[in-house]
Amino acid sequence: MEQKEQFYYDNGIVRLFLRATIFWGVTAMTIGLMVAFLFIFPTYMENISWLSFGRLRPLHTNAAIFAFVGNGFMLGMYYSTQRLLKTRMFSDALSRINFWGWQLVIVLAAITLPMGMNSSKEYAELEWPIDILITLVWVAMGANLIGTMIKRRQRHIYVAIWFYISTFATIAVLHIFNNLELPVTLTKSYSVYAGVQDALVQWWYGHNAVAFFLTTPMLGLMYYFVPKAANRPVYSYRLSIIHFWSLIFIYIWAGPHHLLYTALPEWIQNLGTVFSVMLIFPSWGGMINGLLTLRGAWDKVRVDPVLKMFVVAITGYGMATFEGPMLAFKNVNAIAHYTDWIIAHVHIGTLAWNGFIISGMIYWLVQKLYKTELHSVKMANTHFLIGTVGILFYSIPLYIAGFMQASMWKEFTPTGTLKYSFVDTLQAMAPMYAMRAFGGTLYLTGFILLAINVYKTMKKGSFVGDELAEAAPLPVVSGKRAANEHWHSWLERKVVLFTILSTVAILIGGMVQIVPLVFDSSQVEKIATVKPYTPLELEGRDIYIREGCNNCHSQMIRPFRNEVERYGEFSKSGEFVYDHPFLWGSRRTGPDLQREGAEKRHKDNMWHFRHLLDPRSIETRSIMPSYAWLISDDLDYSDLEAKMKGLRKLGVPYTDAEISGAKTALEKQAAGIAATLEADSGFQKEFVAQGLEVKKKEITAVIAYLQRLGTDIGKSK
Amino acid sequence: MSNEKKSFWSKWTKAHDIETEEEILLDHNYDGIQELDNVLPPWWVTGFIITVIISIFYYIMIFQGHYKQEDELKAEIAEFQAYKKANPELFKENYDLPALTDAESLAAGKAIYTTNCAACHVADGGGLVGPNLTDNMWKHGGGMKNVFTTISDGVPNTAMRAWKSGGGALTAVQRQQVSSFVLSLQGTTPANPKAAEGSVKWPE
Ligand code: HEC
Ligand code: HEC
Repeated sequence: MEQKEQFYYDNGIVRLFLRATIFWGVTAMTIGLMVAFLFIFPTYMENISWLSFGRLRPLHTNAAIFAFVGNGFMLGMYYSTQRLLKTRMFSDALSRINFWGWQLVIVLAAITLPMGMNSSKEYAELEWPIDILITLVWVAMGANLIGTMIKRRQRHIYVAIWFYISTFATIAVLHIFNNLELPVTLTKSYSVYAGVQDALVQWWYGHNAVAFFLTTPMLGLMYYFVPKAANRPVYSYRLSIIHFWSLIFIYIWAGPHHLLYTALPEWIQNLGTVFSVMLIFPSWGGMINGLLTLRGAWDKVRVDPVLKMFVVAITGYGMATFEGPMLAFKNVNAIAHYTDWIIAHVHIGTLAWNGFIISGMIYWLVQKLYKTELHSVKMANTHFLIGTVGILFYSIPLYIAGFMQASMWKEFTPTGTLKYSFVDTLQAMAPMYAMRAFGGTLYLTGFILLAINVYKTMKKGSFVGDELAEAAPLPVVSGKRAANEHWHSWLERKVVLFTILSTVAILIGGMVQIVPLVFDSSQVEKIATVKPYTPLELEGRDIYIREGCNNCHSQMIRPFRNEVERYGEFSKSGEFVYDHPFLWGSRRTGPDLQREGAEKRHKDNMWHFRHLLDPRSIETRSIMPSYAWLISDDLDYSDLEAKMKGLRKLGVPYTDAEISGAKTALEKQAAGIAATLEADSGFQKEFVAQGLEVKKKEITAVIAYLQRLGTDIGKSK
Repeated sequence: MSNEKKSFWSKWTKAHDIETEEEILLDHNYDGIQELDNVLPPWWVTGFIITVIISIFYYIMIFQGHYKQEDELKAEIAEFQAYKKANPELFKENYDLPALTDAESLAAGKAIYTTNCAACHVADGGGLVGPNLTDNMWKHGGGMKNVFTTISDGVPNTAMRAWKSGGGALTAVQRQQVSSFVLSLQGTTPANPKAAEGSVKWPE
């Protein structure tokens, strides 16, 4: 018998992440609730620019994903990795850099997003300096993880660790390639990809952020905490192997299902569909392995809040991963896309799967860390109950809302006209939005109970920062595969090779889809009349991005009769070639704006002015924020030349003359818009007489941009 | 668990009996976590294979059939054209409808006006984004036929949309009612009248 070595587990780092998870969880959900209330009371935070919907929504999603779930993953990862590998983390310094760096990223996000500094790409809104910081922190985490694997005292790496590795490697790849952007100033950059290509890269990222930030890390946690809490062996090792590799290989291909019926080339769209369908069983492999591990422990499940939460979490995972592929069928997607159905779908994933697996894990962990019993099991059971009811109240009304929206959008009268105006649909949705907010309130209340319960448990327990453990050192053996060694078992002791192979597995799908689209110019049609934005329009577009208008407005008309009737000619890939970044959006809380300047959507400048100042003065039932600050704030176009030069580097054909004359051209166009407004006697009385010099204001740029939208292709006719 | 239930489960999953699970317990031990070597549930394997086959089949079929999403739109439009042809009476546009004066029609017209038009023309017709509708100066002509035409076809490149088509469009009868209501505003005195616009002074 070999001499055992003594060492200490680092519980200090686990406690740091525990506190952060709870703190950011409460924060993220509170912001979510603030946003939910905007749908019912659109004016309750009126005229506070940094609390307007377009800026808060990215703050909510980023906080929920990266702050809450991110910290929750690291919490469980730091606890379980040390124990699964029988060693302290590779480097305490890296652990701390990981923790404090991640919190710094979150704080910077919480400051910059409400200020309107964002790149517009969903769940990747943060601007380039923060993107670099994220990369460094993430690499610190990965180095620490790999270092720990190398100095491990356990011969093989357990399935939880496989998932941690693929999380690390894939998120690194996704984050870097989606955020390739050209900085213009410290707080502004343009995506290097344009239009269709940007859309594909973004949803390759967006979909796989769900896969590799909200799913694989949670599966890793499941594989450690479920057998631990239930005290049962994992159901099937073979299933772990098969579903791990098939999951990570297939997942990465499915991104284009976010872009069905768009201008994305159809061969890519259809790959998104079929790989989503093939994903059902690999996903369910995880669910089965989790639930069947509880075989023989169901009596415990009935009483233990930890296991109850795990069961609801895993069931939620199973539901969401069945629904996802269904949504990837074109005919289902035609109904669900752009509606609240998708919001319901993601919240099954986040509230049930992520929220409950993290909550269950916290209840279990806090008892281990503080060597005591939970302060109140009853309270935890209450959390479980109102959390579950909260999920139902959140999701069911939104499923109904999604169907209602879709059917109202599509309904024609017998005489071939659209039956409902856009705002009619909003009005019909109002009760659903109220129930959603109620469900959210319940869920948050449950989570606050967790915070109190954990705090009380910490108070009564005693925490040991460095926990003594012992294990035998790992004797050196040959790296070669032994004669009767299973190949996967061999791979489980070759950690670097394992990391490389899992990275290769996730690179294939992305490359097959993205490389041809970016490098083969025949994939995007050419439309001669499509021209770059004028300087004023460009500034207007940047304000549109700053305000996050794309969080409510799509700019992608699908080839359906009802959309063509409502919004005009359906969108063509060639129309977006100068759009760095693309602004197709993913949800129609407001109408599509791709042809706002053309055909049936066109309105005069005065309409836009009054509408942006106060949407409810034009459309009483509108839930769009009012943008009074666009009228009080001067347009800052000091970076205009830098912006145009930057875009030229990315392929937008601005000439030298256009760039050097940009400021003059901008002022001229602004003056022209101002003149049309000032021609109105009411405007004179109400604004000019009060000293408003509208040509200097941001609103002229936004109007110029809106009037330009969708007009280029009309010119060819 | 009853025997019946157990056999159901084991048929579906081919799971090894819990009582004798030591037989398939692997010698893995990760921080106390052990792993069983249960076989892959047969339904899971079958399901996986079926989805893969369906997917390959679907992908090939779609390109064999030269399917294009644009064709769906063409089909929808063709279907509508056929419907139009079959029901000509529904699509007869009559721009010669008479002005209505009965209280019921005017009340209906007022309701349509309040939800659809008041945002731009103000509830009492005084005008805001759109012109004052109470004076006898018109940009596009007064009288039933002109007002009905303006409302039906809209004014291109202005905020005044065509109400005969598009989202929330009004039927011919509705347009007749709202036109009649608009005409009934003639000569009333709104709270904040917008200055008269247009060059066509319409006879009372
Ligand atoms: C909370 C979601 C929300 C945000 C954010 C938002 N809008 Fe809207 N928008 C709406 C809704 C709802 C409507 C439809 C009702 C109306 O006309 O006000 C609308 C309508 C519009 C319309 C009229 C569309 C049409 O053709 O009828 C324009 C133009 C518009 N918004 C521009 C913007 C701009 C520019 C921004 C950013 C500065 C913005 N919106 C931000 C929800 C939003
Ligand atoms: C979005 C704002 C808007 C809405 C809503 C709107 N209008 Fe108008 N309307 C206008 C504008 C602007 C004009 C002036 C067009 C022009 O410049 O010629 C106008 C013109 C008119 C005219 C012609 C006036 C003239 O002097 O010839 C009539 C009649 C009219 N609208 C009726 C209606 C009715 C009835 C509705 C509701 C069914 C309606 N409008 C809804 C903006 C609107």
